[in-house]
Amino acid sequence: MRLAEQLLKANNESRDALHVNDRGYSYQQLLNIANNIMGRLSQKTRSIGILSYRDITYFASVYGCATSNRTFVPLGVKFPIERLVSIVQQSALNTIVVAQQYADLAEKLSLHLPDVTFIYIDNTESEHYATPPESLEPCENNNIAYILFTSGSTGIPKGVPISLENLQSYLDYMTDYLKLTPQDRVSQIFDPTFDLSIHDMFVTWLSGACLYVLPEAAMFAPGKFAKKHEITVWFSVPSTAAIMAKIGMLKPQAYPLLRYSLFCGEPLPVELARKFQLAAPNSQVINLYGPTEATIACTHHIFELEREYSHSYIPIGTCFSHMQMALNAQSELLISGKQVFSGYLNNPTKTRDSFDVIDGRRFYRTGDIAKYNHLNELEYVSRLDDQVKIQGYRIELSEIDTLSKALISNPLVQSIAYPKGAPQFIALFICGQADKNIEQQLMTSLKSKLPSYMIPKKVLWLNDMPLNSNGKIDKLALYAMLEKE
Amino acid sequence: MSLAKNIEETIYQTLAEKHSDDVINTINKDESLITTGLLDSMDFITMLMNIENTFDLDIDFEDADPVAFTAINGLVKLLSEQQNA
Repeated sequence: MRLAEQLLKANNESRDALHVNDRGYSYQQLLNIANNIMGRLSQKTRSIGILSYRDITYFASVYGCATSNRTFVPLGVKFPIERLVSIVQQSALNTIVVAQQYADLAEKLSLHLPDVTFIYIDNTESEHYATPPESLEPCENNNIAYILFTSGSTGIPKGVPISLENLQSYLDYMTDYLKLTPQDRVSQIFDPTFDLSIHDMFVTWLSGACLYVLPEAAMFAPGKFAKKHEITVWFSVPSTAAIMAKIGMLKPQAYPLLRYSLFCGEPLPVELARKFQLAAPNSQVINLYGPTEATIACTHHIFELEREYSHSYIPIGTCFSHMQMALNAQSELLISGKQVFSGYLNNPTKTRDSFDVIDGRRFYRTGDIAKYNHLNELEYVSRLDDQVKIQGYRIELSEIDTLSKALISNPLVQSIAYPKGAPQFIALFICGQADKNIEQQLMTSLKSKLPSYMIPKKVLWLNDMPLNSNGKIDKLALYAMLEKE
Repeated sequence: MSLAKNIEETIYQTLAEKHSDDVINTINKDESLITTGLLDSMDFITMLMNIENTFDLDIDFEDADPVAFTAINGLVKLLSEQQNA
């Protein structure tokens, strides 16, 4: 059975599907709102952009796309205009659904996108019955469930189209693995442009459970929200848990109702997993791993409280049973199987470089270096390139460098993510006489091109850029300078 | 100067490193610094750790409401109460 049919079958009618901005929506209400929104599209529209942020319009639009086999592209409301324009053009969207609250942003976008139709949705869209839109038959050139964009080293965001088959394959495995029930109350913390939010929505709705959307102010300290709403399934990046630990929100037994504590997006420190396990003693703490290109996640490891872990981070674990993994000569982790996407949007060169063929089978090259431990579990080691993750967001440092070099016409620029291993911010080193004006102009331009998590927090000017024996910029020396700061 | 005043001053110092006087003068002390985008979550935590060290406090927000404690007034109140506890 396909996703659209499965979702409609799991539609639990009078039970709540969604709790957002202090109100609950039943499955029937969610479907009615979704149908009303879809009813405003032209029948032939196969894909839409959604300009909204974790509100009823956003969730209902996704639900509507999924139940009628349409492609959705989440548009980050905090992204700079230039980036949004690039995303819309690359995805060849001709329709964007806009929550009324973001009408101003849509107006600005429309100046750059004269051929795109903007459909404004009031967050009080009718909950009354609406005729379902014509469900589109997935066909060869329209089998895409969603497209997400990640940082690209050239300065242009890379589109990752995930097909219905990719998504279905993930969801079949995950719903069977977790076996959520209609009684479950699931946290929704992830940003819509992050694929872990796709897990939140569909795993919940396929199980007839209810999704609880954390209000923005509670996002980084969600303890109280989890208690108040008796959350049973937790899913966040480890950084969120680390903040909770720091401000006294991970006391032993604090969350006895949690059945699952899921983490993904960054390495999970053993100490943190232990703290979370003690705070949520009745839950399984599970570390998930996977690149966006292989649909949300493809390995898992269940934390064991009594076990002595040999490293300071939890293993990424074992591969999902329907997927295959291999390590190449450089110990780069390769992934094959139904969850792996077919290639980047309009980028055959990048696609070719991202795959290896072994024994006739196509493997996606993750760029992650990994190794097997003595229990045959995978451990993440490091990156092959200069991609870093801050709070789970993928960042190509070379994207920041390429843009900065061009903006200030200075080839000696180097960004690094600090501290090494578990970075929290980006520092930018510029070779030359310190110049506050240039620095300010640079920051303003970067902010107009990059999402906020990619903006350097510190700028340091150096008279000489330290070089290593190969004549390359000595990043270790730059780390050492930051240590002293 | 009272602890509350000192903490408030530290918060304003952090904000001054990131924003111009014009912005700072218009801050509503009862509005979340995070929802208004004046600080991101990492900035906020760094500031908290800084306050914890400077004033030798043990921060415990177990049951605190994030909407309240990310605003200047809420944060100052919560931290001064913890000192007295």
